[in-house]
Amino acid sequence: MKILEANNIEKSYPVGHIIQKKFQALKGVSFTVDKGEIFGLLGHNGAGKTTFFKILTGLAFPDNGTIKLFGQDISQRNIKEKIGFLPEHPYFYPYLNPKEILSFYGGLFSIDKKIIEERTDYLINLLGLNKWKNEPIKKFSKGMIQRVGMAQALINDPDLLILDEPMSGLDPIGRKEFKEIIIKQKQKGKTIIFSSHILSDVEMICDKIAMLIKGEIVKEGNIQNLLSEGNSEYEIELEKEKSINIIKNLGFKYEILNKNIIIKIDNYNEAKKVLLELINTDVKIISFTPVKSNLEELLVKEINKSEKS
Amino acid sequence: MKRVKTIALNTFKETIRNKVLYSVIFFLILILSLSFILGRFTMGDTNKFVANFGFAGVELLGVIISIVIGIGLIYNEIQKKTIFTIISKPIKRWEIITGKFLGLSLTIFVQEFIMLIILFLFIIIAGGKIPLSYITASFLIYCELMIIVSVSIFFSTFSSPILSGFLAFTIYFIGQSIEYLKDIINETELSSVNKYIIDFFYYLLPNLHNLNIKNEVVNGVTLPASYISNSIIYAVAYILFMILTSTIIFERKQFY
Repeated sequence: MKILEANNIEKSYPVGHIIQKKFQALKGVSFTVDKGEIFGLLGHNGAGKTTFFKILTGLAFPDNGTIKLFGQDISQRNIKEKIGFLPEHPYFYPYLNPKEILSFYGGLFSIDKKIIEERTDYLINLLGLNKWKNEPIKKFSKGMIQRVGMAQALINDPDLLILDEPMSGLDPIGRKEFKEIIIKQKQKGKTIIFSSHILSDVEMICDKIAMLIKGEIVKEGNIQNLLSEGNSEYEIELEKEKSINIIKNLGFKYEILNKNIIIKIDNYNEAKKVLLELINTDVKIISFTPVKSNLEELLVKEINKSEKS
Repeated sequence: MKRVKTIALNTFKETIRNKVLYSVIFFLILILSLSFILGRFTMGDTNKFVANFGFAGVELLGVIISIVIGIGLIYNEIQKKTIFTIISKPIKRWEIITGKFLGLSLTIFVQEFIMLIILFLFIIIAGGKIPLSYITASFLIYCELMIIVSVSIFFSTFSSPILSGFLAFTIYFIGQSIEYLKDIINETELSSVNKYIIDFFYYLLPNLHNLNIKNEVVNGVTLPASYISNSIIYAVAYILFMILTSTIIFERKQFY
Protein backbone atom coordinates (compact mmCIF):
# COMPACT_ATOMS: atom_id res chain seq x y z
CA MET A 1 0.00 0.00 0.00
CA LYS A 2 1.27 3.45 -0.96
CA ILE A 3 1.39 5.85 1.98
CA LEU A 4 2.90 8.76 0.04
CA GLU A 5 2.61 9.49 -3.66
CA ALA A 6 4.38 12.68 -4.75
CA ASN A 7 3.82 13.52 -8.37
CA ASN A 8 5.79 16.23 -10.17
CA ILE A 9 5.99 18.65 -7.24
CA GLU A 10 7.29 22.09 -8.10
CA LYS A 11 7.82 24.87 -5.63
CA SER A 12 9.51 28.24 -5.76
CA TYR A 13 9.58 31.02 -3.22
CA PRO A 14 10.81 34.60 -3.07
CA VAL A 15 14.25 35.33 -1.63
CA GLY A 16 15.78 38.70 -0.74
CA HIS A 17 14.26 41.70 1.00
CA ILE A 18 14.09 44.73 -1.25
CA ILE A 19 14.69 43.15 -4.64
CA GLN A 20 13.03 39.75 -4.51
CA LYS A 21 14.03 36.88 -6.74
CA LYS A 22 12.31 33.56 -7.16
CA PHE A 23 14.21 30.53 -5.95
CA GLN A 24 13.02 27.21 -7.32
CA ALA A 25 13.35 24.80 -4.41
CA LEU A 26 11.63 21.79 -6.01
CA LYS A 27 11.72 20.96 -9.72
CA GLY A 28 9.23 18.20 -10.44
CA VAL A 29 9.82 15.88 -7.49
CA SER A 30 8.13 12.48 -7.79
CA PHE A 31 8.50 9.40 -5.60
CA THR A 32 6.45 6.99 -3.55
CA VAL A 33 6.74 5.52 -0.07
CA ASP A 34 5.18 2.19 0.88
CA LYS A 35 3.54 1.27 4.17
CA GLY A 36 5.97 0.15 6.86
CA GLU A 37 9.05 1.61 5.18
CA ILE A 38 11.74 3.78 6.66
CA PHE A 39 12.41 6.24 3.87
CA GLY A 40 15.39 8.61 3.90
CA LEU A 41 15.35 11.86 1.97
CA LEU A 42 18.95 12.92 1.45
CA GLY A 43 20.56 15.98 0.00
CA HIS A 44 22.89 18.89 0.63
CA ASN A 45 21.83 22.06 2.47
CA GLY A 46 19.26 23.89 0.39
CA ALA A 47 18.45 20.81 -1.71
CA GLY A 48 14.73 21.19 -0.99
CA LYS A 49 14.19 18.54 1.72
CA THR A 50 12.66 20.91 4.28
CA THR A 51 10.53 22.58 1.59
CA PHE A 52 9.17 19.16 0.65
CA PHE A 53 8.35 18.40 4.30
CA LYS A 54 6.65 21.79 4.66
CA ILE A 55 4.41 20.97 1.70
CA LEU A 56 3.63 17.57 3.21
CA THR A 57 2.53 19.15 6.49
CA GLY A 58 0.55 22.09 5.09
CA LEU A 59 3.06 24.83 5.93
CA ALA A 60 3.56 25.62 2.24
CA PHE A 61 1.57 24.87 -0.91
CA PRO A 62 3.01 23.37 -4.12
CA ASP A 63 3.04 25.51 -7.28
CA ASN A 64 2.44 22.41 -9.36
CA GLY A 65 1.93 18.69 -8.89
CA THR A 66 -0.01 16.60 -6.43
CA ILE A 67 0.74 14.77 -3.21
CA LYS A 68 -1.42 12.01 -1.85
CA LEU A 69 -1.10 10.69 1.67
CA PHE A 70 -2.99 7.50 2.53
CA GLY A 71 -4.58 7.79 -0.93
CA GLN A 72 -6.09 11.22 -0.21
CA ASP A 73 -5.07 14.70 -1.34
CA ILE A 74 -2.96 16.48 1.30
CA SER A 75 -5.47 19.33 1.59
CA GLN A 76 -7.82 17.01 3.52
CA ARG A 77 -7.58 17.86 7.21
CA ASN A 78 -8.41 14.35 8.46
CA ILE A 79 -5.10 13.09 6.99
CA LYS A 80 -3.23 15.11 9.60
CA GLU A 81 -4.84 13.00 12.33
CA LYS A 82 -2.52 10.20 11.15
CA ILE A 83 0.68 12.26 10.82
CA GLY A 84 3.39 13.12 13.32
CA PHE A 85 5.87 15.86 12.38
CA LEU A 86 9.16 16.87 13.94
CA PRO A 87 10.48 20.02 12.22
CA GLU A 88 14.15 20.87 11.97
CA HIS A 89 15.05 22.88 15.11
CA PRO A 90 11.65 22.65 16.79
CA TYR A 91 10.49 25.59 18.90
CA PHE A 92 8.02 25.45 21.75
CA TYR A 93 6.41 27.90 24.14
CA PRO A 94 9.23 28.51 26.64
CA TYR A 95 6.96 28.83 29.67
CA LEU A 96 5.40 25.36 29.26
CA ASN A 97 6.85 22.15 30.66
CA PRO A 98 6.97 18.88 28.65
CA LYS A 99 3.72 17.63 30.21
CA GLU A 100 1.87 20.85 29.31
CA ILE A 101 3.37 20.84 25.80
CA LEU A 102 2.20 17.29 25.13
CA SER A 103 -1.21 18.05 26.55
CA PHE A 104 -1.44 21.16 24.31
CA TYR A 105 -0.51 19.27 21.12
CA GLY A 106 -2.73 16.35 22.09
CA GLY A 107 -5.60 18.83 22.37
CA LEU A 108 -5.27 19.63 18.67
CA PHE A 109 -6.24 16.06 17.73
CA SER A 110 -9.61 14.35 17.96
CA ILE A 111 -8.34 12.15 20.75
CA ASP A 112 -9.95 11.48 24.10
CA LYS A 113 -8.40 13.45 26.98
CA LYS A 114 -7.71 10.26 28.94
CA ILE A 115 -5.78 8.73 26.03
CA ILE A 116 -3.73 11.94 25.70
CA GLU A 117 -2.82 11.71 29.39
CA GLU A 118 -1.77 8.07 28.99
CA ARG A 119 0.27 8.86 25.85
CA THR A 120 1.88 11.82 27.62
CA ASP A 121 3.09 9.64 30.50
CA TYR A 122 4.28 6.94 28.08
CA LEU A 123 6.21 9.38 25.86
CA ILE A 124 7.77 11.22 28.80
CA ASN A 125 9.19 7.87 29.93
CA LEU A 126 10.16 6.76 26.43
CA LEU A 127 12.11 9.94 25.72
CA GLY A 128 13.78 10.12 29.12
CA LEU A 129 12.02 13.33 30.14
CA ASN A 130 10.76 12.10 33.50
CA LYS A 131 13.21 14.12 35.56
CA TRP A 132 12.33 17.33 33.75
CA LYS A 133 8.63 16.83 33.09
CA ASN A 134 7.64 19.75 35.33
CA GLU A 135 10.45 22.11 34.30
CA PRO A 136 9.73 24.96 31.84
CA ILE A 137 11.28 24.29 28.46
CA LYS A 138 13.27 27.54 28.50
CA LYS A 139 15.75 25.73 30.77
CA PHE A 140 16.27 22.89 28.27
CA SER A 141 19.34 22.13 26.13
CA LYS A 142 19.02 21.63 22.35
CA GLY A 143 19.05 17.85 22.74
CA MET A 144 16.32 17.96 25.37
CA ILE A 145 14.15 20.17 23.14
CA GLN A 146 14.67 17.64 20.35
CA ARG A 147 13.36 14.92 22.68
CA VAL A 148 10.26 17.01 23.43
CA GLY A 149 9.92 17.51 19.67
CA MET A 150 9.94 13.77 19.08
CA ALA A 151 7.40 13.29 21.89
CA GLN A 152 4.96 15.80 20.36
CA ALA A 153 5.38 14.12 16.96
CA LEU A 154 4.34 10.80 18.54
CA ILE A 155 1.47 12.12 20.71
CA ASN A 156 -1.24 10.87 18.30
CA ASP A 157 0.48 7.49 17.72
CA PRO A 158 0.84 8.46 14.03
CA ASP A 159 0.77 6.05 11.09
CA LEU A 160 3.21 8.30 9.25
CA LEU A 161 6.10 9.94 11.05
CA ILE A 162 7.83 12.82 9.24
CA LEU A 163 11.16 13.75 10.80
CA ASP A 164 13.28 16.64 9.53
CA GLU A 165 16.84 16.18 10.81
CA PRO A 166 15.72 14.27 13.93
CA MET A 167 19.27 13.53 15.15
CA SER A 168 20.29 17.19 15.13
CA GLY A 169 21.57 18.37 18.51
CA LEU A 170 21.56 14.90 20.05
CA ASP A 171 24.49 13.26 21.82
CA PRO A 172 25.49 9.68 20.80
CA ILE A 173 23.16 8.16 23.42
CA GLY A 174 20.29 10.32 22.20
CA ARG A 175 21.00 9.32 18.60
CA LYS A 176 20.96 5.65 19.55
CA GLU A 177 17.67 6.06 21.40
CA PHE A 178 16.09 7.94 18.49
CA LYS A 179 17.18 5.19 16.08
CA GLU A 180 15.62 2.60 18.37
CA ILE A 181 12.38 4.58 18.50
CA ILE A 182 12.29 4.84 14.69
CA ILE A 183 12.93 1.10 14.30
CA LYS A 184 10.28 0.34 16.92
CA GLN A 185 7.77 2.43 14.97
CA LYS A 186 8.56 0.42 11.84
CA GLN A 187 8.06 -2.82 13.78
CA LYS A 188 4.62 -1.53 14.75
CA GLY A 189 3.80 -1.19 11.03
CA LYS A 190 4.24 2.60 10.91
CA THR A 191 5.87 4.47 8.04
CA ILE A 192 8.74 6.87 8.63
CA ILE A 193 10.10 9.52 6.28
CA PHE A 194 13.12 11.40 7.47
CA SER A 195 16.02 13.55 6.40
CA SER A 196 19.41 13.53 8.05
CA HIS A 197 22.91 14.81 7.51
CA ILE A 198 24.24 11.89 9.52
CA LEU A 199 24.38 9.46 6.61
CA SER A 200 25.70 6.54 8.63
CA ASP A 201 22.40 6.62 10.56
CA VAL A 202 20.44 6.68 7.33
CA GLU A 203 22.45 3.74 6.00
CA MET A 204 21.84 1.82 9.18
CA ILE A 205 18.05 2.16 9.45
CA CYS A 206 16.55 3.10 6.07
CA ASP A 207 14.91 0.67 3.67
CA LYS A 208 14.70 3.12 0.80
CA ILE A 209 16.20 6.49 0.02
CA ALA A 210 15.80 9.31 -2.45
CA MET A 211 18.61 11.75 -3.21
CA LEU A 212 17.37 15.28 -3.70
CA ILE A 213 19.92 17.54 -5.34
CA LYS A 214 19.10 21.12 -6.33
CA GLY A 215 15.41 20.36 -6.14
CA GLU A 216 15.50 17.20 -8.26
CA ILE A 217 15.44 13.53 -7.34
CA VAL A 218 18.62 12.12 -8.87
CA LYS A 219 18.55 8.64 -7.33
CA GLU A 220 15.86 6.64 -5.64
CA GLY A 221 15.49 3.08 -4.51
CA ASN A 222 16.45 0.30 -2.15
CA ILE A 223 19.48 1.35 -0.13
CA GLN A 224 21.40 -1.94 -0.58
CA ASN A 225 20.91 -1.89 -4.36
CA LEU A 226 22.11 1.69 -4.58
CA LEU A 227 25.19 0.96 -2.47
CA SER A 228 26.14 -2.16 -4.45
CA GLU A 229 25.89 -0.14 -7.72
CA GLY A 230 29.09 1.69 -6.86
CA ASN A 231 30.85 -1.26 -5.23
CA SER A 232 33.62 -2.05 -7.75
CA GLU A 233 36.99 -1.41 -6.14
CA TYR A 234 39.24 -3.93 -4.37
CA GLU A 235 42.31 -3.29 -2.28
CA ILE A 236 45.26 -5.67 -1.70
CA GLU A 237 47.58 -4.63 1.11
CA LEU A 238 51.17 -5.98 0.98
CA GLU A 239 54.35 -5.58 2.94
CA LYS A 240 56.49 -2.98 1.13
CA GLU A 241 59.72 -4.94 1.32
CA LYS A 242 60.23 -7.20 -1.73
CA SER A 243 56.89 -6.17 -3.31
CA ILE A 244 57.63 -2.78 -4.86
CA ASN A 245 59.24 -4.11 -8.04
CA ILE A 246 56.53 -6.73 -8.59
CA ILE A 247 53.80 -4.14 -8.21
CA LYS A 248 55.43 -1.74 -10.64
CA ASN A 249 55.40 -4.53 -13.23
CA LEU A 250 51.69 -5.24 -12.65
CA GLY A 251 50.73 -1.74 -13.80
CA PHE A 252 47.89 -1.04 -11.28
CA LYS A 253 47.35 2.07 -9.16
CA TYR A 254 49.02 1.79 -5.79
CA GLU A 255 49.52 3.81 -2.63
CA ILE A 256 52.65 3.60 -0.45
CA LEU A 257 52.04 3.71 3.29
CA ASN A 258 54.74 3.61 6.00
CA LYS A 259 55.65 -0.08 5.82
CA ASN A 260 52.95 -1.33 3.44
CA ILE A 261 51.66 -0.83 -0.06
CA ILE A 262 48.01 -0.87 -1.15
CA ILE A 263 47.15 -1.91 -4.73
CA LYS A 264 43.80 -0.65 -6.02
CA ILE A 265 42.03 -2.74 -8.68
CA ASP A 266 38.57 -1.85 -9.99
CA ASN A 267 37.59 -5.29 -11.32
CA TYR A 268 36.93 -8.46 -9.30
CA ASN A 269 38.45 -10.94 -11.85
CA GLU A 270 41.61 -8.86 -12.22
CA ALA A 271 41.89 -8.58 -8.44
CA LYS A 272 41.53 -12.38 -8.10
CA LYS A 273 44.20 -12.97 -10.76
CA VAL A 274 46.67 -10.59 -9.08
CA LEU A 275 46.02 -12.14 -5.72
CA LEU A 276 46.77 -15.64 -7.04
CA GLU A 277 49.98 -14.39 -8.64
CA LEU A 278 51.09 -12.77 -5.41
CA ILE A 279 50.42 -15.93 -3.39
CA ASN A 280 53.04 -17.71 -5.49
CA THR A 281 55.72 -15.12 -4.62
CA ASP A 282 57.40 -14.55 -1.28
CA VAL A 283 55.60 -11.20 -0.81
CA LYS A 284 53.69 -11.01 2.47
CA ILE A 285 49.95 -10.33 1.88
CA ILE A 286 48.36 -8.34 4.74
CA SER A 287 44.76 -8.11 3.48
CA PHE A 288 42.35 -8.32 0.55
CA THR A 289 39.35 -5.99 0.90
CA PRO A 290 36.42 -5.21 -1.36
CA VAL A 291 35.94 -1.43 -0.95
CA LYS A 292 32.28 -0.85 -0.19
CA SER A 293 31.06 2.56 -1.22
CA ASN A 294 28.92 4.27 1.40
CA LEU A 295 26.07 6.73 1.18
CA GLU A 296 28.35 9.68 1.78
CA GLU A 297 30.49 8.80 -1.24
CA LEU A 298 27.40 8.13 -3.31
CA LEU A 299 25.87 11.47 -2.34
CA VAL A 300 29.09 13.40 -2.93
CA LYS A 301 29.44 11.70 -6.33
CA GLU A 302 25.90 12.73 -7.29
CA ILE A 303 26.43 16.29 -6.05
CA ASN A 304 29.65 16.58 -8.07
CA LYS A 305 27.89 15.16 -11.10
CA SER A 306 25.15 17.75 -10.72
CA GLU A 307 27.71 20.59 -10.28
CA LYS A 308 29.44 19.56 -13.53
CA SER A 309 26.20 19.35 -15.49
CA MET B 1 -14.45 23.63 19.31
CA LYS B 2 -11.94 21.51 21.23
CA ARG B 3 -9.08 22.85 19.12
CA VAL B 4 -10.23 26.47 19.50
CA LYS B 5 -10.42 25.91 23.27
CA THR B 6 -6.89 24.41 23.31
CA ILE B 7 -5.43 27.40 21.44
CA ALA B 8 -7.44 29.86 23.56
CA LEU B 9 -6.30 28.38 26.88
CA ASN B 10 -2.69 28.30 25.74
CA THR B 11 -2.91 31.92 24.56
CA PHE B 12 -4.37 32.85 27.95
CA LYS B 13 -1.49 31.07 29.71
CA GLU B 14 0.98 32.84 27.44
CA THR B 15 -0.47 36.35 27.69
CA ILE B 16 -1.35 36.36 31.40
CA ARG B 17 2.41 36.08 32.11
CA ASN B 18 3.12 39.32 30.28
CA LYS B 19 4.76 41.79 32.66
CA VAL B 20 2.96 44.73 31.02
CA LEU B 21 -0.22 43.59 32.78
CA TYR B 22 1.27 44.14 36.23
CA SER B 23 2.86 47.49 35.46
CA VAL B 24 -0.48 48.67 34.09
CA ILE B 25 -2.17 48.01 37.45
CA PHE B 26 0.53 50.07 39.14
CA PHE B 27 -0.17 52.94 36.71
CA LEU B 28 -3.91 52.72 37.34
CA ILE B 29 -3.40 52.99 41.10
CA LEU B 30 -1.15 56.00 40.45
CA ILE B 31 -3.77 57.65 38.21
CA LEU B 32 -6.56 56.98 40.72
CA SER B 33 -4.52 58.28 43.67
CA LEU B 34 -3.74 61.47 41.75
CA SER B 35 -7.37 61.93 40.73
CA PHE B 36 -8.42 61.35 44.35
CA ILE B 37 -6.08 64.12 45.56
CA LEU B 38 -6.97 66.50 42.70
CA GLY B 39 -10.67 65.78 43.19
CA ARG B 40 -10.48 67.20 46.70
CA PHE B 41 -9.23 70.53 45.35
CA THR B 42 -11.81 70.89 42.59
CA MET B 43 -15.45 71.92 42.67
CA GLY B 44 -18.05 69.16 42.52
CA ASP B 45 -18.10 65.60 43.75
CA THR B 46 -14.72 63.96 44.30
CA ASN B 47 -16.19 60.56 43.45
CA LYS B 48 -17.37 61.80 40.02
CA PHE B 49 -13.91 63.21 39.38
CA VAL B 50 -12.35 59.86 40.34
CA ALA B 51 -14.92 57.99 38.20
CA ASN B 52 -14.22 60.21 35.16
CA PHE B 53 -10.47 59.87 35.47
CA GLY B 54 -10.68 56.20 36.40
CA PHE B 55 -12.85 55.09 33.49
CA ALA B 56 -10.59 56.95 31.07
CA GLY B 57 -7.55 55.30 32.69
CA VAL B 58 -9.05 51.80 32.61
CA GLU B 59 -9.96 52.26 28.94
CA LEU B 60 -6.62 53.71 27.83
CA LEU B 61 -4.55 51.16 29.75
CA GLY B 62 -6.78 48.39 28.35
CA VAL B 63 -6.18 49.70 24.83
CA ILE B 64 -2.41 49.71 25.43
CA ILE B 65 -2.49 46.09 26.67
CA SER B 66 -4.75 44.95 23.82
CA ILE B 67 -2.47 46.46 21.20
CA VAL B 68 0.90 45.61 22.77
CA ILE B 69 -0.03 41.95 23.23
CA GLY B 70 -2.37 41.58 20.24
CA ILE B 71 0.13 42.74 17.60
CA GLY B 72 2.58 39.99 18.56
CA LEU B 73 0.13 37.09 18.83
CA ILE B 74 0.37 35.69 15.29
CA TYR B 75 3.61 37.44 14.32
CA ASN B 76 5.56 35.85 17.19
CA GLU B 77 4.19 32.39 16.37
CA ILE B 78 5.64 32.80 12.87
CA GLN B 79 8.92 34.42 13.93
CA LYS B 80 9.60 31.90 16.70
CA LYS B 81 8.44 29.04 14.44
CA THR B 82 6.05 27.61 17.05
CA ILE B 83 3.49 27.75 14.23
CA PHE B 84 5.29 24.86 12.44
CA THR B 85 4.21 22.25 14.94
CA ILE B 86 0.69 23.71 15.16
CA ILE B 87 -0.14 23.96 11.44
CA SER B 88 1.06 20.37 10.92
CA LYS B 89 -1.68 19.19 13.29
CA PRO B 90 -5.32 18.71 12.17
CA ILE B 91 -6.33 22.29 12.91
CA LYS B 92 -7.89 24.81 10.55
CA ARG B 93 -6.41 28.24 10.32
CA TRP B 94 -9.63 29.99 11.41
CA GLU B 95 -9.47 27.90 14.58
CA ILE B 96 -6.01 29.33 15.30
CA ILE B 97 -7.16 32.94 14.76
CA THR B 98 -10.34 32.44 16.80
CA GLY B 99 -8.48 30.66 19.58
CA LYS B 100 -5.88 33.42 19.75
CA PHE B 101 -8.63 36.05 19.88
CA LEU B 102 -10.57 34.27 22.64
CA GLY B 103 -7.42 33.61 24.68
CA LEU B 104 -6.38 37.25 24.67
CA SER B 105 -9.99 38.31 25.30
CA LEU B 106 -9.96 36.20 28.45
CA THR B 107 -6.70 37.81 29.60
CA ILE B 108 -8.12 41.29 28.94
CA PHE B 109 -11.28 40.32 30.81
CA VAL B 110 -9.29 39.30 33.91
CA GLN B 111 -7.17 42.45 33.65
CA GLU B 112 -10.16 44.74 33.19
CA PHE B 113 -12.01 43.01 36.04
CA ILE B 114 -9.10 43.68 38.42
CA MET B 115 -8.75 47.28 37.23
CA LEU B 116 -12.49 47.95 37.60
CA ILE B 117 -12.54 46.49 41.13
CA ILE B 118 -9.72 48.89 42.04
CA LEU B 119 -11.58 51.79 40.38
CA PHE B 120 -14.84 50.99 42.16
CA LEU B 121 -13.00 50.79 45.50
CA PHE B 122 -11.56 54.28 44.91
CA ILE B 123 -15.04 55.61 43.99
CA ILE B 124 -16.52 54.13 47.19
CA ILE B 125 -13.65 55.56 49.29
CA ALA B 126 -14.36 58.95 47.64
CA GLY B 127 -17.95 58.69 48.92
CA GLY B 128 -19.65 57.53 45.74
CA LYS B 129 -21.83 54.58 44.83
CA ILE B 130 -21.61 52.05 42.01
CA PRO B 131 -24.82 52.24 39.96
CA LEU B 132 -25.71 49.59 37.39
CA SER B 133 -24.88 52.07 34.61
CA TYR B 134 -21.20 51.90 35.69
CA ILE B 135 -21.25 48.15 35.01
CA THR B 136 -22.86 48.81 31.61
CA ALA B 137 -20.17 51.38 30.76
CA SER B 138 -17.50 48.90 31.87
CA PHE B 139 -18.97 46.23 29.62
CA LEU B 140 -18.95 48.59 26.64
CA ILE B 141 -15.30 49.44 27.36
CA TYR B 142 -14.63 45.70 27.25
CA CYS B 143 -16.46 45.46 23.88
CA GLU B 144 -14.30 48.32 22.59
CA LEU B 145 -11.15 46.52 23.72
CA MET B 146 -12.28 43.33 21.96
CA ILE B 147 -12.56 45.32 18.74
CA ILE B 148 -9.03 46.63 19.32
CA VAL B 149 -7.80 43.06 19.97
CA SER B 150 -9.37 41.84 16.72
CA VAL B 151 -7.84 44.77 14.79
CA SER B 152 -4.39 44.08 16.35
CA ILE B 153 -4.62 40.38 15.46
CA PHE B 154 -5.63 41.34 11.92
CA PHE B 155 -2.45 43.43 11.49
CA SER B 156 -0.41 40.74 13.23
CA THR B 157 -1.21 38.28 10.41
CA PHE B 158 0.78 40.24 7.83
CA SER B 159 2.93 43.02 9.28
CA SER B 160 5.68 43.60 11.82
CA PRO B 161 4.79 44.54 15.43
CA ILE B 162 6.01 48.15 15.05
CA LEU B 163 3.88 48.81 11.97
CA SER B 164 0.95 46.86 13.43
CA GLY B 165 1.17 48.87 16.67
CA PHE B 166 1.24 52.16 14.77
CA LEU B 167 -1.74 51.16 12.61
CA ALA B 168 -3.76 49.78 15.53
CA PHE B 169 -3.27 52.95 17.63
CA THR B 170 -4.17 55.09 14.61
CA ILE B 171 -7.35 53.11 14.09
CA TYR B 172 -8.18 53.45 17.78
CA PHE B 173 -7.86 57.25 17.67
CA ILE B 174 -9.80 57.51 14.39
CA GLY B 175 -12.44 55.13 15.77
CA GLN B 176 -12.88 57.30 18.86
CA SER B 177 -13.36 60.49 16.89
CA ILE B 178 -15.07 59.05 13.80
CA GLU B 179 -18.42 60.76 14.49
CA TYR B 180 -16.76 64.17 14.95
CA LEU B 181 -14.80 63.67 11.75
CA LYS B 182 -17.95 62.74 9.84
CA ASP B 183 -19.74 65.85 11.20
CA ILE B 184 -16.86 68.10 10.12
CA ILE B 185 -16.75 66.52 6.67
CA ASN B 186 -20.55 66.77 6.28
CA GLU B 187 -20.36 70.48 6.94
CA THR B 188 -17.84 71.00 4.16
CA GLU B 189 -18.79 70.88 0.49
CA LEU B 190 -17.43 67.76 -1.16
CA SER B 191 -17.90 66.09 -4.52
CA SER B 192 -20.06 62.98 -4.55
CA VAL B 193 -17.00 60.81 -5.27
CA ASN B 194 -15.21 62.13 -2.20
CA LYS B 195 -18.36 61.60 -0.15
CA TYR B 196 -18.48 57.97 -1.26
CA ILE B 197 -14.84 57.52 -0.28
CA ILE B 198 -15.45 59.07 3.15
CA ASP B 199 -18.57 56.94 3.61
CA PHE B 200 -16.57 53.84 2.69
CA PHE B 201 -13.98 54.54 5.40
CA TYR B 202 -16.68 55.58 7.87
CA TYR B 203 -18.25 52.14 7.62
CA LEU B 204 -14.97 50.25 7.25
CA LEU B 205 -13.23 51.66 10.32
CA PRO B 206 -14.57 50.74 13.77
CA ASN B 207 -16.96 53.23 15.29
CA LEU B 208 -15.70 53.27 18.87
CA HIS B 209 -17.52 56.49 19.66
CA ASN B 210 -20.82 54.61 20.15
CA LEU B 211 -19.21 52.34 22.74
CA ASN B 212 -17.95 55.26 24.78
CA ILE B 213 -20.64 56.14 27.34
CA LYS B 214 -18.31 57.00 30.22
CA ASN B 215 -19.22 60.70 30.44
CA GLU B 216 -22.95 60.01 30.22
CA VAL B 217 -23.01 57.44 33.06
CA VAL B 218 -20.76 59.51 35.35
CA ASN B 219 -23.05 62.52 34.85
CA GLY B 220 -26.16 60.42 35.46
CA VAL B 221 -27.54 60.54 31.88
CA THR B 222 -29.75 57.53 31.21
CA LEU B 223 -29.24 55.90 27.84
CA PRO B 224 -32.01 53.84 26.20
CA ALA B 225 -31.56 50.06 26.36
CA SER B 226 -31.81 49.90 22.54
CA TYR B 227 -28.70 52.12 22.27
CA ILE B 228 -26.73 49.75 24.50
CA SER B 229 -27.94 46.60 22.71
CA ASN B 230 -27.25 48.11 19.25
CA SER B 231 -23.73 49.06 20.37
CA ILE B 232 -23.10 45.50 21.56
CA ILE B 233 -24.47 44.01 18.31
CA TYR B 234 -22.23 46.40 16.33
CA ALA B 235 -19.16 45.34 18.37
CA VAL B 236 -19.87 41.62 17.85
CA ALA B 237 -20.43 42.12 14.11
CA TYR B 238 -17.22 44.14 13.74
CA ILE B 239 -15.19 41.54 15.67
CA LEU B 240 -16.56 38.75 13.44
CA PHE B 241 -15.70 40.82 10.37
CA MET B 242 -12.11 41.29 11.60
CA ILE B 243 -11.69 37.60 12.49
CA LEU B 244 -13.01 36.62 9.07
CA THR B 245 -10.67 39.05 7.29
CA SER B 246 -7.69 37.89 9.39
CA THR B 247 -8.54 34.28 8.54
CA ILE B 248 -8.70 35.01 4.80
CA ILE B 249 -5.18 36.51 4.96
CA PHE B 250 -3.83 33.78 7.24
CA GLU B 251 -5.29 31.00 5.03
CA ARG B 252 -2.99 32.11 2.19
CA LYS B 253 0.09 32.43 4.35
CA GLN B 254 2.98 30.07 3.67
CA PHE B 255 5.80 29.47 6.09
CA TYR B 256 9.25 29.19 4.55
